[in-house]
Amino acid sequence: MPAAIRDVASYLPPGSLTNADLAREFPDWGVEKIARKTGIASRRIAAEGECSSDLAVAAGRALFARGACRPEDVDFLLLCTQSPDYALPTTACLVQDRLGLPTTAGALDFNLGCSGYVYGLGLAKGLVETGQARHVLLITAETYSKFLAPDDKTVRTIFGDAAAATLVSASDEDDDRAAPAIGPFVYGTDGRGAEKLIVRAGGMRQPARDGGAGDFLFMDGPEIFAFTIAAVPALVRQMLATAHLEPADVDLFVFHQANRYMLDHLRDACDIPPEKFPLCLEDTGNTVSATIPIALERAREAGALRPGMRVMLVGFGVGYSWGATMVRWTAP
Amino acid sequence: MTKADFLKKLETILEADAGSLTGTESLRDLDGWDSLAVMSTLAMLDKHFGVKVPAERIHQCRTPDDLAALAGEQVTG
Repeated sequence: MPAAIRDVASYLPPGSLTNADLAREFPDWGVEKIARKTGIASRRIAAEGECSSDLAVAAGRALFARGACRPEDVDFLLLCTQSPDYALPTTACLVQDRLGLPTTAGALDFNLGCSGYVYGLGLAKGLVETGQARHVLLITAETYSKFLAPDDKTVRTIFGDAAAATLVSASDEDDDRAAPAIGPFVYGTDGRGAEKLIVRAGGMRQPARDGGAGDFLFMDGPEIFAFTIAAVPALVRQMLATAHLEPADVDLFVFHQANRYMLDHLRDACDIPPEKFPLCLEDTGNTVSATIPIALERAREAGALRPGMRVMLVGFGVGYSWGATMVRWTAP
Repeated sequence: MTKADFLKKLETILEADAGSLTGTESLRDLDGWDSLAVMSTLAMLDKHFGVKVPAERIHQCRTPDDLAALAGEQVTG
């Protein structure tokens, strides 16, 4: 039974950090120039004690409120986060209970950043199409703000917190079209980039936070940028070749919303017309694995994403890890 | 691309006055030579010369002339 995206919904925490807030905090710093380059005007920030599971549960409830399915219908929960509530147990187990998913459901976390949504769709498709699940709830939930050093202006302008919930279900439609609703997939990994975007503390190599730089997210912005320049246009070409598509066959290209400057360059390098390339980060910032589903949700609301459209999803970042897939939009 | 055009592009990146660069300046001492400028230079090398280099290669450059050398013989004069 082919897997298809049934619906998507997101949740943003109420707290915010605007450029004016940053300008007040760093009066000697050209916030406006950075804002112009990143395309970000404000970000949503989880409150103290507001964790990934809280955002995940809110996104899940928003999805159920739309009526695509009931909590009791879900038989697998995939939760993507790099900022879990605890070292253990798995955040997905907490979310299973709080969302009222059946105890017969499988649930697991996977730890990926900006590529996570594409990988999650790949895992969900595998579960559905091998008959292990009928309704997979894929949630990407991240509170990167908790990793950010208060005085690190660069990362604080970029990252915001969010969660998104996507329902991937076995499709009942009698579908004679050649293109699958999700797939094919292209993946890539290069662990040589591990040191370029890293939080050193909190794992077993450095279990305790000691007040040093390792407690916080380190990002080598220029190296990350160089990586995306090298990897992403090649990824898009490989995706088109794997799916036997020409660029003109794709109705919408939804990239991970890293920052505007990077996206403008990648769009140009990939020769994608602006009207097929949604930018969606002005009021959210870079929400890591939630950017792609939020962009899908917003594009749907704006009428730019409609049933039947062929969409390329492209994720890339921390790891380094990257992936792309094709989606035939089947959700309302 | 001529070296003069290359320097013009760099002046735009640095938001410096037109004609202010000769190529031998110390990048470190230039206003505006920050991580955003490094990224803009990476983008410029990619877009105009098809040259993709790690950011480390940019950091190793001391002058605009060193940056131009990354594009090899594509920058003339």
